Amino acid sequence: MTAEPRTNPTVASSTDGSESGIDAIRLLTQAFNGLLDSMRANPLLTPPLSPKNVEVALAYQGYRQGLGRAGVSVLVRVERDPKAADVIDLYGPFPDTPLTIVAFNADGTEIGRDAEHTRVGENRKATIPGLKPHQLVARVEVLDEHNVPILFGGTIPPVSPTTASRSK
Amino acid sequence: MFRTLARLIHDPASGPNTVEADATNVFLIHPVQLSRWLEQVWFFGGQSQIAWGSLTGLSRDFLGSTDIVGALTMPIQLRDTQLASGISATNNPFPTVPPPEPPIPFSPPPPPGAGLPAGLPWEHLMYALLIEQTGVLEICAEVVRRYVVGETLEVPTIETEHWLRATEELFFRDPPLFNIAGITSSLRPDLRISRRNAYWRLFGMDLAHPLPPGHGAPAGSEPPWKRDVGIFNSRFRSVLVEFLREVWIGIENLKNLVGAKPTDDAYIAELARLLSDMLGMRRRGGQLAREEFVHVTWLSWFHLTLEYNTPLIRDLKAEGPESDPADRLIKLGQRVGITAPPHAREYFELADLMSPLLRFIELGAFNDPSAAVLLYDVSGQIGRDANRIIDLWQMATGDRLKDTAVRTAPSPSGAHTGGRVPIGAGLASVGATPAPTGSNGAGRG
Repeated sequence: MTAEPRTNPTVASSTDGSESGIDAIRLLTQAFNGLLDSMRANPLLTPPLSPKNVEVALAYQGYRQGLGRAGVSVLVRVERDPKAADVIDLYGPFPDTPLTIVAFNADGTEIGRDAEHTRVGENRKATIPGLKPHQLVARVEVLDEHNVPILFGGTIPPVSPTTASRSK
Repeated sequence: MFRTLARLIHDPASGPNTVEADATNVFLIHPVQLSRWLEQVWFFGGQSQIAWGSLTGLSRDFLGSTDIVGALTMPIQLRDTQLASGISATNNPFPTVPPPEPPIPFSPPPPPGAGLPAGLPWEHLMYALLIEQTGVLEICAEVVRRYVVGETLEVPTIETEHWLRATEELFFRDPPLFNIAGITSSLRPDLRISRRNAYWRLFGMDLAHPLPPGHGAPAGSEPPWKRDVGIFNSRFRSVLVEFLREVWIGIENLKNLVGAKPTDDAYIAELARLLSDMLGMRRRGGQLAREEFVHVTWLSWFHLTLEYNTPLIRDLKAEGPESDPADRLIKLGQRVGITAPPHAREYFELADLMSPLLRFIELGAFNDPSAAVLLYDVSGQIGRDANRIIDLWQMATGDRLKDTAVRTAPSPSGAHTGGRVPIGAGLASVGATPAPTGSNGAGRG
């Protein structure tokens, strides 16, 4: 039987959840499952993936992880900063390359993006311009230096009224 | 969902590689707690399903309606107080066996899986169809029946007693009133028929093995799961087969640099859209969402039972190699006089692969010709999964996917209906009657 081993879902919630502390860049490369590497190596053989296809490939990989299939993480844990409604905390590690963090509405429209987020150890704090306390963040994308999504964050609910009153 | 629960309650104190212990821990939880956890997971799992739909802006609503989970969920105050499951993912609250230490631990919310940023999706209904096709349910049912009516099997250990009690209470009697799993009633009293009804409506496919005696309609009459269904996806299987064939052509010609390239991205996208539309039409308004949840939950319990050398498997000396539920199933079936289908191994593996891929097809992920490359580029996960599905589907059903010169419709009753196959082999599709079998999966050894 060649059924794949199953993984703990906490793995799917953080990029640092792999079994043996594999470094983040290798994780991300694996997250693309060799697809991009293969194309870079053989540009004449296969057409380049569009950003939309990268999204689908990553979402599929993340969904498999949610179901417990083996695979590397493409999902990053995201939370609203309880002290600042327009700040999103992302839990890494992340690759040491320029990253842009983008927040989206449920209808797919962009709320805002932050390319100059703050590093807090292996984590990041992204300030999303225009993000209101009552606003739901349907998804978060982490883009690499080529504006290609490499990680996904899930839905973040609006902050509570109590928390909102403390927001900046 | 029970396979997911085994991962969620992983006990770090038991060290790495303790999947068998994790599975056993699930079986040690009191059935009322398991039942209540399902009520909880319907809500937060369902919400995550919906969130996945928006993750990539895919075109179709998950589960047919973004409102269906909220509409059928229990009031949160009730669900998380009087009717909380008390299962904890963090406190390792499992009884020591033997003997159990009363009282069985009960922890306040949140239950395992709540608040997971990755969400907690459940399997596609195709998972239930393919797992049930292995005959696991009928074999396990016979094991439980034998244990509760006599002494024809080994003396069970306490762990197996836990499993027997939970299995009988959760799956072979009516669920608690007003529970999300309560899809039986005086109007549809038989869950076996309800499952077949769902398979028929969504996929136009039947299980190859007939119902056990006493559950089916008289010979010659219309199967009860096909009555009054109205529109159903009669073309699903033939379109799926054509889709997989076209993907195989893409795989074959991925690196074809010379001559004509028969890969047809537009046709692949057209077939994907047709599959997506068919599934979406049957799910309008959230129809079949609850049924899907219940059926995949059911089958995941029995899949988990066979996935490792769990107490029942050890007690009945049906141990098998790592990750080989089919081997254990065959041995378990031999203990109760039921022969598992020859392609059980393929169906187990297919179930895990088909579930996410079909979900993404349903969501419209491949409706655009530009996305077809994802399906046949086997250097990516989607392509690898599709390639393996093609292999396994052809092996299990006999549909010739790789013989590109062949363009015959799938055999109505599958290609493997002959021989000694008490629980049917090939999936039966529209227009078929269940494959004639020897002991129909309810054999009494």
